[in-house]
Amino acid sequence: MNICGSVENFMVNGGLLPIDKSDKDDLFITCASFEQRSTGLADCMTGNYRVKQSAIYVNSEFRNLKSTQDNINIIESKLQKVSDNYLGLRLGSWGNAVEQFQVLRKLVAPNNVCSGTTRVTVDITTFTRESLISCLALLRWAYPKGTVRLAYISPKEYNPAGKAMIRKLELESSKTRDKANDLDQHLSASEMQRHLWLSRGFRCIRNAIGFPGLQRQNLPALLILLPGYEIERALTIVNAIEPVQVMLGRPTDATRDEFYERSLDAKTQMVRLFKSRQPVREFDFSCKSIETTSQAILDVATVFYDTHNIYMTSLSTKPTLVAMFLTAIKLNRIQVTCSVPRDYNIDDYSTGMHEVSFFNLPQD
Amino acid sequence: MPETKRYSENPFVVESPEKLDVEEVYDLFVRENSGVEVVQQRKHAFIWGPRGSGKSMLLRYLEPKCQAIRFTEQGETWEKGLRRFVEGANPFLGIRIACKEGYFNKTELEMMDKSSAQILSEHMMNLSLASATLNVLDSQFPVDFFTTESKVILARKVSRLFNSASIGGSLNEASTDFKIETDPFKWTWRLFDAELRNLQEYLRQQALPEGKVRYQGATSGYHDFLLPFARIVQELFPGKRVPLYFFIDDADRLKIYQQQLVNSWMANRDLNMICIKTAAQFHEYRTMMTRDGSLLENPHDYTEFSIEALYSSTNDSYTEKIRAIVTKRLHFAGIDRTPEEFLQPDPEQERLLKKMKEVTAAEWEKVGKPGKQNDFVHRYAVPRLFQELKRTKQRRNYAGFENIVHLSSGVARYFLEPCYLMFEELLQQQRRDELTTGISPAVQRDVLYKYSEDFVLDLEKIRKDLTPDTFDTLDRLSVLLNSLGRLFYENLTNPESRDARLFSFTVRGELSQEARDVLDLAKRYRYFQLRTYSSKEGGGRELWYVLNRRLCPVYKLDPTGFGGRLSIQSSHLDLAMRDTNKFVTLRLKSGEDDQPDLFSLEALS
Repeated sequence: MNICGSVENFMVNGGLLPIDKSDKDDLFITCASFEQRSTGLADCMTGNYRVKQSAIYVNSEFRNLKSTQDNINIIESKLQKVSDNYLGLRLGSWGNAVEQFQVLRKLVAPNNVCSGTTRVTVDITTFTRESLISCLALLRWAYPKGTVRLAYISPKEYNPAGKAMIRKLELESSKTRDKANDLDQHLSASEMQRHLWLSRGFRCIRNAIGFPGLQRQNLPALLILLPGYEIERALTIVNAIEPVQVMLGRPTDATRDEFYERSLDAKTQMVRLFKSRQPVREFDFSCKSIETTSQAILDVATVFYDTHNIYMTSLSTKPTLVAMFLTAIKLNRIQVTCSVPRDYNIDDYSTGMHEVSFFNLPQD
Repeated sequence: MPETKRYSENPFVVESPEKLDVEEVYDLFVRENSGVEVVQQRKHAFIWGPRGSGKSMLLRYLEPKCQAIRFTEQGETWEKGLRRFVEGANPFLGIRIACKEGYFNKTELEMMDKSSAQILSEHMMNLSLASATLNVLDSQFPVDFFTTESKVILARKVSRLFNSASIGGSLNEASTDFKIETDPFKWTWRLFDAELRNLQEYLRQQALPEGKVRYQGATSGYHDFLLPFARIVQELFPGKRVPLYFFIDDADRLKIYQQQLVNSWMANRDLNMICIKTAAQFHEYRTMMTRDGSLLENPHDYTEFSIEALYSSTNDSYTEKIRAIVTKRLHFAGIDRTPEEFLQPDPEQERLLKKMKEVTAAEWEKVGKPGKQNDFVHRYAVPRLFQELKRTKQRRNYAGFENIVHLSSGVARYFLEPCYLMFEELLQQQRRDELTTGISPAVQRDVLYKYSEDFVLDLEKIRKDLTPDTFDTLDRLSVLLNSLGRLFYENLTNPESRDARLFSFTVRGELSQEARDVLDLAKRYRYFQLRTYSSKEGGGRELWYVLNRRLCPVYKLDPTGFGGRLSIQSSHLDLAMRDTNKFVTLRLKSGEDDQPDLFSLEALS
């Protein structure tokens, strides 16, 4: 994983270049969403980036939002400039795994397997987790001899409006309470969750297409879970799978200190909630480094590979999902599980763009 | 005696039955009122029950080694018990497969047409059943229980159920890992395991085909695989007819067409060879149709047992069952107390209740001795207690073993969970003395109230799972719960009330679509339990909705009441879903005016 620092610095230093600086990329794929950072990599096409074909993937559920349309306009205008052939929008649905997969397949691998040394750049920033897993599986299958470069842009802030509201409520509450007696009083956890959320509710749990795993009736279930901020979503997964043990990732870093503290806090709450149901063991993982996390998951999974039916899911950053994907292709008896939420926090998901990083997807 | 450490840490810990070894299952299982008599009959069966009600424990208890322990006499080894069981009057070979999330309901199957998905699903389930059978034969029978020769014959015969060309690779894998002559069961298990892996691999590749990929491996159905497989396994028990009982656990997790498949198996009558026992949550098992569109009928095709219905039976079978469970757990934890001693009621309120019993006994004399005095006291003492608590502005404390049994509404897990939290609370407060003597009524009260409140607050969690177009339905349910809660409370605390301990209702007249949606939602999330009763007119059963007793602490109701139900007109049910005040006022007014049109009381049938 190559972290190139802040988006501003990256742009100052020339911005996005083709994989082979002397030649155009063959394909550029991105996902446009309601998040501001979905335009990040297009914004970074300041200098010499050129590509033969490009396309934008959009979730149909978000297509008609003004924020999504604004972002599509920005990305489209940039791609029209840097592409020989801009293919346009491809609409999939995060509510329908099969449709989503088929749309991505046509987008990522229109000609099935390509035996040449194709160069593909994919901005993974705002793909949903399930669509990203599908995308990675397709990329790895379609370009066995090619170079697949993944780009990721972290946000400046999650839930900016929710955090502002909490600050306001805390201020109001501090004015009204007796400071001498009640200094440690804070907002309740449920009040915090009401304002700070990325997704909520539950539609279904399903395996990512291409990663059904192998379930043997004589083995117990084990869940490897990389937690993010979404506590309820994690609980729903645990309730559905009913593992005999949860291996819970403990984040060791984040692109910002604030993100790190929030994810640690969420992880602590999860441990408390899970423990009454089954044993929980923790292991370290990185929210930023694909290599570190991939190795960490591999180490954990290897221990239980022959003795448990392993499920694996990440609710953390997109790089951790890539790490999970890399483990799943090595240990194909593991099931990659996705939980589909009812809603995303469209109005207050994230804001800004912080760091940009790149990672070349290893091929066989 | 099971591994006791976790019970000494907290005797009410809820463990997944999958995690328990055979001895632990046997030690923890409470046979009384478990449904075991129904399920072990030589018939197909459905076992209905919500999550946590003990379905998996029941199925695991019916596995061979548990039965062996059951049939073992003093001083004998379990191997002797196993022989006694197999040679007894009603032997069977219990094989459980779990349909946990992601085991059979694979996303890749949705990429196929229904017919292909059904064929592959059946093959996948057959392979799972067969490999589970081999695993049970290998691990739950002594090595010398079957002769090596009979095991080898089984391995060879079973492998011939498939076309050898289509399973060539799997045969090689099995032979690489195990020798058929020395490890015939393991060899056969490996054969099925390899086939299952091939199928999973096909599902994986199906997503990424270069051109159209066709499944070229073996497939299997009921008549060409499962039935002959069972016949071959039976040959291991010469001179005996030992049917295979296939336990399909968590079948509510299957896709509808997979449930149809299970139903199709159950429509067959090869009961001397195969009995299918399907365990599921009633409302989540979405079809009783077979694959060819026939309806599975009771009692023609199957028998059934509802674990939850135990609670509604007039004897105390559910209480007895919970008492036995808690007694065992306290014993494993080294706590020398009965459940009633460990979970004592509030002494103050017990004294008050005793006083109320004396008051109602005297009242019986005053009102002309209607019926038997005991019945009168039973009917009115608790309402008088609630009336007194209301008058003195006190809350009911629901502490006490029997109260908690009622609050758990027929689900063992709903008893164990709050008790687990009470124990944790003591640990947190470092009240170590109480850990071995009993949980104080105050701690019980606080946890039980919170547990009840959480159930009401869950409505907001449910909202997150619903689409916005169904938010109204949830809002109506919330109002309906409040309306009924308040109405039942007013009824309970009204000294003039004739039948104060009402807790359930029936609906007169055609339900509106909105009411249907609300009641369906309430059933799905277990706010109401659905029962039936025989209609006065005869010739049919009417629906009867019972409020989940976990709601009692929040609505200040009596969880012990069973007698009678409200009969509500459908138009008034609609009102109850919209306006609590109007509904309750109207009801109280109609009560005063003696207008039975709003609702009338019906005696328990």
